[in-house]
Amino acid sequence: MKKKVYKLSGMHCTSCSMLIEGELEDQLGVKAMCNWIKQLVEVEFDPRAINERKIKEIIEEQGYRVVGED
Amino acid sequence: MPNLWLVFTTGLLTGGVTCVAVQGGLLAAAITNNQDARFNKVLGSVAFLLAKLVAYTILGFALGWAGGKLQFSLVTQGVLQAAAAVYMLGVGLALLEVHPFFRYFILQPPRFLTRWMRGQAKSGAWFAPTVLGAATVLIPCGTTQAMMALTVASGKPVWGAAVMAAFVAGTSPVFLGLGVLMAKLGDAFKQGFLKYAGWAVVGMAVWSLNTAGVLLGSPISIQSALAKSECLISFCSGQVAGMASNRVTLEISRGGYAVSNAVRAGQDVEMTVVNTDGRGCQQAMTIPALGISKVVRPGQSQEISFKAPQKPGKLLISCSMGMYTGDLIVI
Repeated sequence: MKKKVYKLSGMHCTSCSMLIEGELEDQLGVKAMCNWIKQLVEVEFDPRAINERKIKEIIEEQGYRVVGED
Repeated sequence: MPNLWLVFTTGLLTGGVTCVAVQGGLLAAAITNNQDARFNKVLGSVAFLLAKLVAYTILGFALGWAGGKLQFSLVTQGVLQAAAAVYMLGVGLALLEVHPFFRYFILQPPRFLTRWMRGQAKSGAWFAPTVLGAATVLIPCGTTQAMMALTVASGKPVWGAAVMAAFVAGTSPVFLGLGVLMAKLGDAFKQGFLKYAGWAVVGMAVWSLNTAGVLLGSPISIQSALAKSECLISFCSGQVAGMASNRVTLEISRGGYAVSNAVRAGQDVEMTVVNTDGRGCQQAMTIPALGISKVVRPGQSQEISFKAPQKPGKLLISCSMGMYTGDLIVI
């Protein structure tokens, strides 16, 4: 398993972190912990099942932007 | 207490941005995962919303009741109002993105709850939308949390239930297909709705702070400022009290409170409180500085006796929600 922490922007409430976690964890082999206060999301994933580009795509489809890594 | 229209419109706009983001997704999943051809999608959505409305109305009633239990005196009532005001101010400023610090005010529901709810949504069970609707009380968004603080501070179960019902009713249209419209409106509208919700919550916070001040006997309040400015404009001489007397009448009416006479500093006073047609919260009359609190129903009267303070000045009379105020003049 691989672990990445992404910096996000565009979040405005705890609903956003619940949404991001939900959408990411709908993917096979992904575990996500999104922190609304720090605007970070920690993603644990299986590189054979999903790649980073797809993870970022899922986040941005919800209307948020990945602005860097932590 | 802010009026229910403000609460409803806050729900109407906020629901379209924060609530529907998560709850809409859960509802959509619960509906699409039901493979049974007889399952009616619209009824599923209606069941979700009704369950949500009932659950939040019960929650509002319980929070109002709990708040009432904490308010055994005017001082504790004022302190609770002040605490709710500070919390709502924090939530409002978080929604307005004034500073990252204010994000701490919006509590993130525990992850096991959101994961349990997603599991429910995928179960495809007939009752999943209903269970999810009711379970949304477990994952309140930021603005919902501010409304919950408002209901606790009200200390009134029925009012608490009304606030949460009005807010949830406001969030409902978005779930009935309007969510598609919301998605099309794009970011500019969403940001605008968020700003409205933020300012509405800040407005409610300021009102709660004002109520806290009134209940804690502060001479400074929105009402007193308005009364002074009205007098400035209309050159009125303020409330002209009759001759000082030890027997005074306080009339409670639709307009609020009117006292017949001034009282003399340090004297024993007999006050007859008469409610002619005051049907709102003015029935619950208080004189915070003297710790007096009485409920006088329309058409009824009650006798109160107290000692006037030693120092001349104005004693604030207020309803228990800090909305209606009046002055007892001490000379």
